[in-house]
Amino acid sequence: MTSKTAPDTNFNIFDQEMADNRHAVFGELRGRCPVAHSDQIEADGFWVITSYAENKKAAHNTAVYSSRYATLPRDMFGEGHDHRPPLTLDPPEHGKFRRALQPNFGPKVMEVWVPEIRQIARRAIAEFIDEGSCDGRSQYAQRISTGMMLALFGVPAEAAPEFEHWLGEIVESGDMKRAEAGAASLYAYLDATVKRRRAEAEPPDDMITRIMESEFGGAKLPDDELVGTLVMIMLAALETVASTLSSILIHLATNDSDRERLIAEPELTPTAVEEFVRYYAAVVSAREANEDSTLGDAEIPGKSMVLLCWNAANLDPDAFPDADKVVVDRAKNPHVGFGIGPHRCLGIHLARLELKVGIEEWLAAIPEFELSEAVPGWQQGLVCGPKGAPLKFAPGGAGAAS
Amino acid sequence: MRLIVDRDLCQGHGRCLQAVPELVIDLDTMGQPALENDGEFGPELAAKVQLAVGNCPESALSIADGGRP
Repeated sequence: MTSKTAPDTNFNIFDQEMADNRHAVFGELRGRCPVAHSDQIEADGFWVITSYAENKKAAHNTAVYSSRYATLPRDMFGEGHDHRPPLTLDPPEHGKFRRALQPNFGPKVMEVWVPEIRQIARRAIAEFIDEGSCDGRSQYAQRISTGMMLALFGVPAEAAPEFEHWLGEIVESGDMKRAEAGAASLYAYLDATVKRRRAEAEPPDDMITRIMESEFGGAKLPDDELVGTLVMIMLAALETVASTLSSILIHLATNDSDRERLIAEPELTPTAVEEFVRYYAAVVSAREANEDSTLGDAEIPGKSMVLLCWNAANLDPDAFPDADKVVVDRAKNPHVGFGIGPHRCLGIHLARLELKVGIEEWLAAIPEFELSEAVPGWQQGLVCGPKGAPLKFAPGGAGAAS
Repeated sequence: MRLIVDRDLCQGHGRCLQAVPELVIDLDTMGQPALENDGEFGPELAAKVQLAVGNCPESALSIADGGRP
């Protein structure tokens, strides 16, 4: 099948050293071989794309680069669990899901959640501000992404601890058995919730009910697909925002001028959020080639796995001047940090608000802060963010100053 | 001048809404721009519209000279 005699690279998203140095690794690959064959992960390896132009071409060419398998390895979720709508659908089937889901995720729909995000952020800060230190990831960024998701899905307060436990087992345990047990509990809970709501005359108006009642290509989703879709949406909302907000906290802890600028000019925050999403884009997305194809200079055989690297695209100097620098007031910034093509992040408008409010509330309470120790490495896999954000500041934060 | 949206390419990132809310007044239920005045704009908005065009990650936006035919 493959005419290659030697791989171009041993790039592997599960390699710790590469995760810790991904900007340099992407830069080296992009300069030498922007569509490169790696011999890692799958038996026949996979193709890794590091240029802006080729990532865009591949994302837009859904006829050739299919989302049938959207993870690397293909069987990441285990055999028989690889159908994850809408993630694993191609047009036109994907469009039925997008048309049903998108209206629930628009900017105005999400804007009403800003006060809730603010409350979650303030409650999180109140718990550690007198300590003078925290892990910005687990104690702040994750609290916002998880808390907001629970609110959006109408999970009652008494169920929240259990829910958070399952989500933690799935996304953080790093243990396949524990992750599967957590996923099974989550499925069972959502399945029971959906069945209960079907029997209610007036189910609560939240994301679960709205998606339950949406028409997917003229029909409601059967329960198993509905629950699978809900789980997919939940999981997609957690690590992505938590990783990016953690990256931002570390950035602001280590770049005084950017931090001072956002405090002095808070109206810049939405622009800065786009720049942070460009520079710290956390996600890579996989595709499977339907047929033999040419991308850049590479001849990609059919059935090959192809990895779209949004972060690598965003750091391409051919697409962005000073691509390797964070420019918080970067005006022209067509970044692909939320992905592009039909699979662009469904929760884009919520994610932006969580990042914006997360920055605003942190800086209002804790304008001065720094790293308390070195960042404990970056996560391997499909979502790459700092494993922790060890931060220290004056106990009491802004209230303790002057 | 007029802002043109390629509705096959647009995926609803909303960057145009950020850049020029005077012209892109909302996103529709599919996340695509709802345009004031059918996308026609005057020179006072030209810089903002150019930024919207430049920031669209899908390259779905362009500017046409003149108003409606």
